[in-house]
Amino acid sequence: MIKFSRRDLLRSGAYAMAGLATSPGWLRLGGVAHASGPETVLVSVFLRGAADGLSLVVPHGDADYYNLRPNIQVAPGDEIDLDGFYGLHPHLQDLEPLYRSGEMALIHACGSPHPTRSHFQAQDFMECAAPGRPDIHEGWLNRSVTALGGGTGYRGVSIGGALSLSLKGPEPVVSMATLDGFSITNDPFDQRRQAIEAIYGSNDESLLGQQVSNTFASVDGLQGLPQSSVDYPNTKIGQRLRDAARIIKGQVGARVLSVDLDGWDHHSDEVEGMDKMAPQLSEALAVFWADLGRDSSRVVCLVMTEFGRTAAENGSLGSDHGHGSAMLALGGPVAGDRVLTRNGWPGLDEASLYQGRDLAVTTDFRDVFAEVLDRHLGIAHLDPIFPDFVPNPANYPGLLT
Amino acid sequence: MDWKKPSRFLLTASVALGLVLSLGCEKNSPFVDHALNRLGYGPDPWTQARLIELGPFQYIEEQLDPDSIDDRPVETVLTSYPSLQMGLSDLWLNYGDSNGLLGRPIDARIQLRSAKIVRAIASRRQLLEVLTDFWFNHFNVDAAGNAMALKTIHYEASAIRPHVLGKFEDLLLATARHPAMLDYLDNQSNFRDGFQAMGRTWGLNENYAREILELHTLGVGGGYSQDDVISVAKAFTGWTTTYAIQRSWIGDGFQFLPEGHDESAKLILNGQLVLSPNGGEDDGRQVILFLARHPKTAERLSRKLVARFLDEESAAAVREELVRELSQIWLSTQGDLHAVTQRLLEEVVLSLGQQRQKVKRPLHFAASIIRAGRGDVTTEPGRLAGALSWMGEDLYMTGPPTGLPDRSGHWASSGGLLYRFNGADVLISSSEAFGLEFDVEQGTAEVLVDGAISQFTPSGIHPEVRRVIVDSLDAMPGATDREKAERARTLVLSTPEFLSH
Repeated sequence: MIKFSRRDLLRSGAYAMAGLATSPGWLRLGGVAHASGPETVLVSVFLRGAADGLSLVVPHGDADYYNLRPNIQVAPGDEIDLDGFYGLHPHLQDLEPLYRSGEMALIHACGSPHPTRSHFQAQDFMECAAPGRPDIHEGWLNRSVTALGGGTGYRGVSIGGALSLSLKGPEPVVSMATLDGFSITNDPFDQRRQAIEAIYGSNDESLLGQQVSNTFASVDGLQGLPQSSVDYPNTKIGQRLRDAARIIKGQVGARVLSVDLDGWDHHSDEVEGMDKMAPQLSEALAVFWADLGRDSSRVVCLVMTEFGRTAAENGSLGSDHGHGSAMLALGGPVAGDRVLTRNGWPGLDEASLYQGRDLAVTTDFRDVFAEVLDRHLGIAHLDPIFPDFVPNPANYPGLLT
Repeated sequence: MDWKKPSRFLLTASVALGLVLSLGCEKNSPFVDHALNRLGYGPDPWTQARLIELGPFQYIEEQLDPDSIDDRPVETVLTSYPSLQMGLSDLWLNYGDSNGLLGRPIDARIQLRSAKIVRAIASRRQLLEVLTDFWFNHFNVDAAGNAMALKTIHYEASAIRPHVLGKFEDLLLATARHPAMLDYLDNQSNFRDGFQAMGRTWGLNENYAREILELHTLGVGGGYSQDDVISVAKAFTGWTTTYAIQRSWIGDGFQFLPEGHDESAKLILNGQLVLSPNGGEDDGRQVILFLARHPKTAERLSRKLVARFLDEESAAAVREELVRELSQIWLSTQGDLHAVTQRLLEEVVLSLGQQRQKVKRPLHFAASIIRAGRGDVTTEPGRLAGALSWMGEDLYMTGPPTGLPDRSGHWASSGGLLYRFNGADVLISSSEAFGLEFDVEQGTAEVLVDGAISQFTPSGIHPEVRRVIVDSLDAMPGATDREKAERARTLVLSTPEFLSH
């Protein structure tokens, strides 16, 4: 289109409009056969709002935890003890069997080295794997899709609404509210869709045109996946993970899936907040894992958040924006039944807290990302994925077998 | 035509006049299409005629004075949504729970969402509607949950809508004092450390303090520190609600609790603002005045307005001069949004080069179809609300305080495009339900396509695209005129020209 030339939209910064193909990968698509054999898959679950790592994974062996949180602590003995020092939040009970069976590991005192306590800035930094670089607007998962090489335009799939920043970038990917809604209605003559394709196909310089072309190819590629035979909880995260499982089990070439769960910003009444959110996460992940069945052997699911919360409770029975948090990793290839920290628990005494108030970050989230991309997705060259950061296997947390 | 020009802008006005005369200021001119898609939710017969009658500058002036526009038709429709007019105590009485006299909280939220759709489609005060949308999003709260649903109704009506063309500091103060914001960002439970009340010991809560600095005023690069967040939090200690303290709604619901206020001296931004001890409620007011008139606020919000109404690339060098001018107007008028908006819109209507450079948001997309189709808004607008949430705009239900982003890339995700194509199909194939009327009902393929183009994309579409649509109609053997006409309309509504504005 004249008004939607690539140049104009590039200038207006809208190339995240997805579909923009700087690489020729998308041209090869659309119903093309996929690589032989089941492929490894990464599922990224982003807990938006700064989930409190100290409530999700309670350091019950640290007396300071109880001193700092007289009213919002998980009371001694209420946690699900894991190893005598750490315990799961009692409402993460559905995840305990996965931990015990070695399919789930936890990474504590994990996060970004950047000091920001702004939700949106910290989310952007994490999703671009580029702390301190507000000029970067491409997500780490989009770059990972590029690194995986050619394939479908739905190697990256965002489920639940708008495309998450993690997946935004030059590589074509798709986003959907729900899998069943990801379709195009037709008219009795069965020609409307073809006409729309022709409208956008009539100008291959158009960004929207490439987006539409990739979208229709993806609709075809993701069509007809069997319905789930498992009952998922009727929560947003439950419904999103159900669609993720259908896509993974369908083996259609989707390699990187992104799912969000909002609602973790517990500035007040955190006990009630966790009682509401933790079961949503726990139930949905547990059903998702059971649903995957033997396919779980090729899946790693990382659950992350932008930063942790203050070690001490605040004045309204909540906690404010902090620094280090915890990450959860599920997966067949995960060496689970462990809480991983770098150089042990950093401690919650005032001298050990970051800026005297927050859990320190001892594991850079990029080391977790790098290990999964390297040893699970098999991406050999990680440098292009991490601006200003050179991954070093010596720093990997040791998540995978 | 009376081309009355604002005296301050003789030069630009004469440029506009030349432009308008050369393009022709008629219903189908790109100029009218562009202006009405930026100053509102797209053209309808009334705004088209009004813009042509008044000319761009006087049209802007009239829209900037919404009370001067007779909006009785839409006000009549809105009488079926009584919750919109209620104070907080009446909202609780009538919709507070399952024993509400008129309904449940969810019924009130449906009224809120429906009213937004009705106003977008039918209000003649189009600018007021897009500005209310902009500033609500800037001061976002989330209507999820029963209490927040009711507070949000009152919040938009009393804290946002009356102030979008007033002083920014009044808008900022109104949001700061409103129970919806006090709840959503937790300031209702922000008290001095050690304050004992209601059987508990309270203390600081930083949430609102951080967001007023980061989101509402200075911006994340605004130069404040963690210490500033704490000082601002202290300044707002004791700003709470009558319901939090007394379990009942009184007046506007705001209550200052002096015993819960931190009366220490406070230094903000390295002493740019110094609050003496014992400032009481005035501490918060001083912070609001300071932030509302701060140059960083002026610049950041000027840029944000430019991005929404003129050019998403508001950081580009070509926009620096305008952003600087708007910031100066902001500072010299102490944040007079009427003056800032007026100057911006004069630039917007002249910037035909920006036409179709933004992807329409879902509500804009749907409303612009029904406006151009002279649709009937008394049909249940609730039906549309669900469709909009599938397209990514779940009205009043945006969780994060950042609100929704203003970038076309966000709004043109693959799912978002599919749902628009499908949505256009639904609207056209059930046009009776939405009361849509069409200019052209029968004729050759070319006549039907040109009729749809002239009604829905009055600036025209690319000739190749037109040809594709005509060909598509020609390939419908045995189809009725109605089937062909529907195909023509659905496809025109699926073009990049209609998806953008």
